[in-house]
Amino acid sequence: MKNTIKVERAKNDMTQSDLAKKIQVTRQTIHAIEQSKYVPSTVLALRLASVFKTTVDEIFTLEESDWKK
Amino acid sequence: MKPPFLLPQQLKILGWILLIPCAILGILYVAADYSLFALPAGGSKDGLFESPSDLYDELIGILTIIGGLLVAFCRVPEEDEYVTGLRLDSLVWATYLSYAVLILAMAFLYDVAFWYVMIVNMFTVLAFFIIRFHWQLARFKKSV
Repeated sequence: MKNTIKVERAKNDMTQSDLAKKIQVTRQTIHAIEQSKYVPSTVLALRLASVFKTTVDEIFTLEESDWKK
Repeated sequence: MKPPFLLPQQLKILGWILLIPCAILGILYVAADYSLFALPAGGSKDGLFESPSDLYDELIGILTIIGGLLVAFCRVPEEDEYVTGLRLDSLVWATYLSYAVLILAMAFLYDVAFWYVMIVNMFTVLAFFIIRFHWQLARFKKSV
C-alpha cells in the first residue's frame, strides 16, 4: 500500500516527531508507515487524515500486490 | 489494533529483579542440584496426593514465572499499535519454537533427559518471547 504521508508532512511543515505526537504513536512507527513497512489500523489512518484535514483514500492507495494473499 | 491487557510499566524493573536471580538459581537447581537454602514443608506421602518435603524449587519456579510475566507483559515507553504487532509476532515465534523443542525432545529423548526438557519447557515460551520481543523492540528503536 502506497501513501503520501511524507508529502502531506512537507505540505504541513511537520517533522515525523510532530506527527507522531499528534496521532499518539512513536516516531519510528511514522517512519515504518512512510516506508510502507507497516500498514496502520483504521483508527490510525483516520487520525492521520484528520491531522492533514483530508480523507484516508487521499493518503493511502492500494497496489496490485495488496490483492494477493 | 486494540491493545491487549498489559501491566503497568513501573513493574517491569521488579520483573527483572525477580527473573534474573531466580532463573539463575533455577538453572543451578536443575543442572547441579544446588539449593541456596532449604525450605522444609513437612511433606507426607499419605493419601492420594504426595506433598513435597521441600518447597525451594516450587518457590524459585513460581518467582521465575512471575518475573518473566512482568518482563514480558509490562507496557514499554514506546507502546503503540506497531509494538502491539511486535508482541503478537514474538508470541507466535515463541510458541512455534517452544513446541519445536518439545517435539524434538519427544522424538529423541527418553527417561530422565526428557524429564529435564519438560521442566525447561515450562519456561521456554516466556523465555523465547522475552528474547525475541526485546530484540525486535531494540531494532525498532534504532530504526531511523
